[in-house]
Amino acid sequence: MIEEGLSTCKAKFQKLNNKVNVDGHKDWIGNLPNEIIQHILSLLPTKDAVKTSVLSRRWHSQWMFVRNLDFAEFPPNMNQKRKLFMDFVDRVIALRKPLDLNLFALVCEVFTDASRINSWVCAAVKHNVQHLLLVLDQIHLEPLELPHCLFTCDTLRKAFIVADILLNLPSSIHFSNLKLLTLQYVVFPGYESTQRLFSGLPVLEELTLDSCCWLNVEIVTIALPMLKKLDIKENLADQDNCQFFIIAENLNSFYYIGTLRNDYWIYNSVSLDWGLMGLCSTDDIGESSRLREVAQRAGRLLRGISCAKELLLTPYAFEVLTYSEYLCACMPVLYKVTYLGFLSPGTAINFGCRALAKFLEKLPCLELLVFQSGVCLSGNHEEGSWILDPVPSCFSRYLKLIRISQFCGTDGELQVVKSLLKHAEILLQMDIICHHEKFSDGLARERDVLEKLQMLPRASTYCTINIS
Amino acid sequence: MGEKGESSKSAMLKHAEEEELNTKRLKTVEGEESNMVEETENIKLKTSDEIIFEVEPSIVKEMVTIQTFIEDNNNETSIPIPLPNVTSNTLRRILEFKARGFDEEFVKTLGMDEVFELILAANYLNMKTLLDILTKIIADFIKNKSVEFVRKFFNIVNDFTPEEEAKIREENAWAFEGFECDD
Repeated sequence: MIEEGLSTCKAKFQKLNNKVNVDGHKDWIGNLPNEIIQHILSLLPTKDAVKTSVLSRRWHSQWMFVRNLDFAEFPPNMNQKRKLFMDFVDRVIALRKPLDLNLFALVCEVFTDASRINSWVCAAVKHNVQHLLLVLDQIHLEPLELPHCLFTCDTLRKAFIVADILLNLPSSIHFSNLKLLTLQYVVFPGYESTQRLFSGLPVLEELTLDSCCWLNVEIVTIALPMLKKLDIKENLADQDNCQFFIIAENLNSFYYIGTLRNDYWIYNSVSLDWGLMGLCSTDDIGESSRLREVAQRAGRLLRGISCAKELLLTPYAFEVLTYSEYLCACMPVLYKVTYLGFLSPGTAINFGCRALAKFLEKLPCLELLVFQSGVCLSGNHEEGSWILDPVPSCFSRYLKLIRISQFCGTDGELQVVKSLLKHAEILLQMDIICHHEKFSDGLARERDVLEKLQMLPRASTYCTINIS
Repeated sequence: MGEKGESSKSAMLKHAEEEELNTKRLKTVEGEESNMVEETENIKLKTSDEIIFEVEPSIVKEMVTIQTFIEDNNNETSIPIPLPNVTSNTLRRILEFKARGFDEEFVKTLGMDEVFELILAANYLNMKTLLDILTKIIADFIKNKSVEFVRKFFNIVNDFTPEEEAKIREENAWAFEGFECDD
């Protein structure tokens, strides 16, 4: 589609150009002042910017004034061309004018060039880089150590480091301007240096820790007063078992995916708007002592994000939170939650489990309830015999919208929908999203079922049922 | 042959109709109707070809050069502010572009000469948003394109000798590697 658009506008440009210029073709772009040409070149991947040096004499040195160095294109099977690439980066960095750098982006396989890459990062830091993107692979032949000057760079505002490296952290770490930090696959070697890092981020607002390893760390304290967004994705292959203490009064959004290999204590997150607990199951959780540990940790994590207005859980998280009656009873009342979403992929939420009603009772102000993985009803119930008991208090006071996805028209689902409609006294909208392929007994039945649904009695006179 | 003539004639008529419509639309911006004026009056700008436009203060705020000029002169706005580097056509296009919410598709309907006039004007008036959009559009015509395409598209005359060109290509070998999409 883009290609079409470009060729039509190329055609349009050419046509109009020919019409307008009586004295032959005019080099319009050449008439632009240098700063604008350099601004345009700064928007390009560095490869394209440097290529313009061959256009004409006027263009020969323009690229040397670019404000961004973007070496993030890395085609696969680069082996023979690798030397060309490495020499290219060397040359660009050497020839570029000593201007401040806005962005330095590098995607590269390290092999035996660790010190070379190190010198490139140094050069970026020396030119007051603001945004840094490093995606480094194949680090095993030579350990890569990021230059020490990087860790006290006071112009750095955003940093993305994706590298399976042992983070050898210097004794002095202070990122006075760093607002966004993403670390993926990095290995933290020990408690003290890890602490040094998290103590050197005074203005950090967004932190993402994705599949990191915490070797000999045991305790991680993340006390960041300006932090608004925290995303933690555990390294599912690892056996870390660390305690995370997270103290962030301004935290707005918390996102977690993992198997609770680590323990998370979140304090004072009073500004939290959005909390996602993406607990995934693994084979070993079946074993009972591990399950107890995970359930406790899940309860603790939930308590930490209990101020959230929107709460999202994987069905497995819900299963773990409610498996123990005792732990379920200890769950705090989540007064602020107005939106509860059960995520997909996952198993359908079983209304036959009494724990669901008890869980919903802990959300007295719930307004929106979403089942992305659908609902089901276990056990044998004669048609119409099952009721939702006890009816959670939010049903009569706050619940306005219910959405059920993956609807297959089974008896169980119908009973659930019937009961929900019966009890949700101020419900405005019930959305049912059908899973057409899996619909029980095929499309013909689907039509019947949908008709039946529309005819169901509902407690709330204003309630509409939307089926798709 | 005749059909071609007919279709280009009707295209021209359509273009003329559109122009009239746009001028009518812009007249409201130019301030002949005062129904949107509260306390702040429209600001008068005089283009290089001596045409005076009355522009809403909110739009003038985006023209940092003009805004600074106004503030430096005690917000004196009764005299039309001269824009010696901007023609009436260009200013009209800028206002039109702004009225369409900086829709990129609109730029692609203009001739290359107009686009570059817009860039020069946006640079002179210091309109950052407009300049960013326009330079991005130009950059997209260079990204991933072959040298031959870029030369042809922008009418750049190659004044290197073949030896000089070969040397540059060799020194930057990696830049000239790989897949280019000239469509």
